[in-house]
Amino acid sequence: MIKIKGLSKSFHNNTIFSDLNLEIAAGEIVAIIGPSGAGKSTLLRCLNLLETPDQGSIEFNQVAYQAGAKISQTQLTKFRQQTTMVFQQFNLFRQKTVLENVLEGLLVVKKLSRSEAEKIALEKLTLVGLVDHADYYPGQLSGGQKQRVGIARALAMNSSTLLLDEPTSALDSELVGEVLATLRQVVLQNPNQTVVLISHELAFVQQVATRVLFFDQGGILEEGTPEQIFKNPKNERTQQFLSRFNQQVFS
Amino acid sequence: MAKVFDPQLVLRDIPKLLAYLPETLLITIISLVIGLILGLGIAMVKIHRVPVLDRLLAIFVSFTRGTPILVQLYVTYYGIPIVLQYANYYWGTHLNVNNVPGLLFVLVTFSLNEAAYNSENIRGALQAVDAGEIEAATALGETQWQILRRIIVPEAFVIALPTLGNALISLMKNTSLAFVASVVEMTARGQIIAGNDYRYFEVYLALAIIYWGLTIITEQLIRLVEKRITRFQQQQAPQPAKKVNFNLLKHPASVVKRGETLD
Ligand SMILES: Nc1ncnc2c1ncn2[C@@H]1O[C@H](COP(=O)(O)OP(=O)(O)OP(=O)(O)O)[C@@H](O)[C@H]1O
Ligand SMILES: [Mg+2]
Repeated sequence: MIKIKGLSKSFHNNTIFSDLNLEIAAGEIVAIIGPSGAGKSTLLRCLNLLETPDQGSIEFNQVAYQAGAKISQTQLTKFRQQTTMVFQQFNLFRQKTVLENVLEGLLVVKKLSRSEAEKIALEKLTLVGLVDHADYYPGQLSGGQKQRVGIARALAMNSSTLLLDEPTSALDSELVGEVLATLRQVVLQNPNQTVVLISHELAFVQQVATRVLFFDQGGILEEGTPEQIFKNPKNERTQQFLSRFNQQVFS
Repeated sequence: MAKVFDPQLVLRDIPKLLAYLPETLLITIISLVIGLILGLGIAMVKIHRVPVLDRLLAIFVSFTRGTPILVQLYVTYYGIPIVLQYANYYWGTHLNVNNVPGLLFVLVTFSLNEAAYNSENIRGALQAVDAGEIEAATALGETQWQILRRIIVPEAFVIALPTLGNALISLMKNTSLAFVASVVEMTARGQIIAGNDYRYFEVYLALAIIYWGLTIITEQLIRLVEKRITRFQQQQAPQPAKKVNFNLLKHPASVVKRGETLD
């Protein structure tokens, strides 16, 4: 359960969004689509405070953040443990092996014992099909494998919400499939896992999302089921965006 | 003709000089450690553009890099007592101006010199650390201190190491100037030996051989460290000898929580 109330963010004088309200129920798979530069990433990055909102509040089941209010390190760590993020550029720790990448948060943040942590890490690496690469360094992996490690690292934290910011857009087209397959499997296997996903892979969005938000001009212009948004968009800008997108796909 | 050059003397002098190797290493290591810590501090001030302080430190760095270390040693040697005299005069302290240990002048000078020379290198290395990895650690919930220790410093160290290694070697050779402050390390000891038997060439040749050997050993050590900490850059797949304990995976079925199979 995520409650976003009156959220605003600007960079210097450039307002990205203001007074944004959004509620996401547990287990929902929410896809955010919209043109480049609309502020989708900024919104997602506010959810784990990689960006600091100027105004408003973000509430998870157990912990809330109020813009402008002081937050202790303990609260901040707790807040960040509500979510885990998969990054467009993978952002793996290059000096750590695949296994150490997945262990990092378990040992340092969750403070699990080595054996507990390894058990979880190896499970997640099995899930993404990379357990036999546990001793590799990121530099020895393909882009698709790197991103699957990124997914394992995120899943290992077992947080209630998974944040995915264009997880396949840095990949060569022939590698996109394996990562989407892994994600589809992750999503299907964990009905309780809330997912907030930014993606330009509209076919994938259509398959997995329970709700689609069209984000543009500093706010959510339209939302609905994938069926509603893709087949029957109401908003003119959504229509434009989707038709431009379809042209690109079919050209 | 008496022996113009006596190789036996060189061999005799080497162990006598090596008896003072601990002094040389002590000065080197203490100055290196203090220098790196101060250098890190200067780098942080520069990165965060701390007002006033960063201007003052920029002047300090420029001054240190723009003056010979021998001159700096004399400046500290004659300067610290003057500072102490002023302190005694204005604050009524009773610091002993004539009894400052020579080692202090040497450590102060070399540490500051090391800090000035390394600060730029450290700053560059810190700023070259991948911002994406810092974000990933932040998103996991690590504190800034954990990120500094676990991500930033190890990565910056890899970037800075070649330059730091060269600085270490210069520092080690520069310790031969410590005699200026009447500190007896290897070179000063050599001067004393030569003063007794007037065999200057043999002593300085012995010293040259020792410093050369030290430099070679240090270079090899740095290379070893470098090899170890850049393992992650290797291209070939890791050796099959796995450190992974696959017994932990006895129940992989527990991973698949419901519904779907893995393919
Ligand atoms: N740290 C920052 N400082 C200043 N401006 C920023 C910063 N981050 C993002 N912006 C600006 O905010 C706007 C929204 O960026 P954001 O990355 O959220 O867009 P997006 O919808 O994710 O786009 P894309 O589809 O290209 O990823 C852009 O104009 C961007 O230039
Ligand atoms: Mg983006």
